[in-house]
Amino acid sequence: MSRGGWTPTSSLVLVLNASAGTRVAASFDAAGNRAPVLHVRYFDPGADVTAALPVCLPQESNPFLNENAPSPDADGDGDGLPDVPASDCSGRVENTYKDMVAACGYFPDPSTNCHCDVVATNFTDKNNSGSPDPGKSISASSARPATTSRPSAKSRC
Amino acid sequence: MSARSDDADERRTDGSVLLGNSDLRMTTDFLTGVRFASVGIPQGATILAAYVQFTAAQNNGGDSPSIDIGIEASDDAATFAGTTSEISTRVLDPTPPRELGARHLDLQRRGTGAANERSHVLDPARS
Repeated sequence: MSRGGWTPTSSLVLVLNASAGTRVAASFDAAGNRAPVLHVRYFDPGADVTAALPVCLPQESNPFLNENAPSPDADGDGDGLPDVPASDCSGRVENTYKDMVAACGYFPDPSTNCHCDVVATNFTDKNNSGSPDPGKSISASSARPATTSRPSAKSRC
Repeated sequence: MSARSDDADERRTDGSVLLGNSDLRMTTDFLTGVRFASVGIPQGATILAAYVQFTAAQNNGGDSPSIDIGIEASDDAATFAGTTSEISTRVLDPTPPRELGARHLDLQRRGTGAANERSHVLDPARS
């Protein structure tokens, strides 16, 4: 899979070399449903799978947790972003927080609670016949087919 | 597998390649090639585990087979054409092959896809 010319439509050949013993298996010509089947479990860093990721906001900035919370954007700059983590030693907390807020569209509508789902990569299970592997325990998320799109942030508010 | 030319046996003595047989003979007399078309795995994916599910064609057992699995080093492996020595001349991935132990390939008679007819072929984390 790390070969430069490999693509999802590439074909794979295995060569079985016996140095002792005898094993005789059915071929495709015996019956298609008795032919060897390749099962592969792989990790695709390019696959999109949605997974819930809890987003923790300072309580004082969340009006749903604190009725005395200040206005999320009270510093007068009109950027619509909460101001609570105004600064830290290098601005990392503030910038991370603002990025999260922007990705989630936080406070788009105070009448609705809001949380953010982010897209993460996940495991994919596939066999060469294109059907789910009935013989293995597959986690719920692993049944999702792989896609070729890049990970991206998604909001659900 | 999707075509009769996707598996073949090559006789070691003369290199003749047999297509269309109902059996795959993993013995010291033959090399066996099996091809899986359009496997659907994207480039760069990391293989966590892999195995081949075989189905026994006859009663096997009573011995201790030693069968190595090699992987053709190809971007897109071609199907078999029946030409002389075409299995033994395929260039294999230099990674040491995975051995098919008896424990993983009992292949009892008239198998129906049991776990003891599986063969692990790829090491975890191989990409």
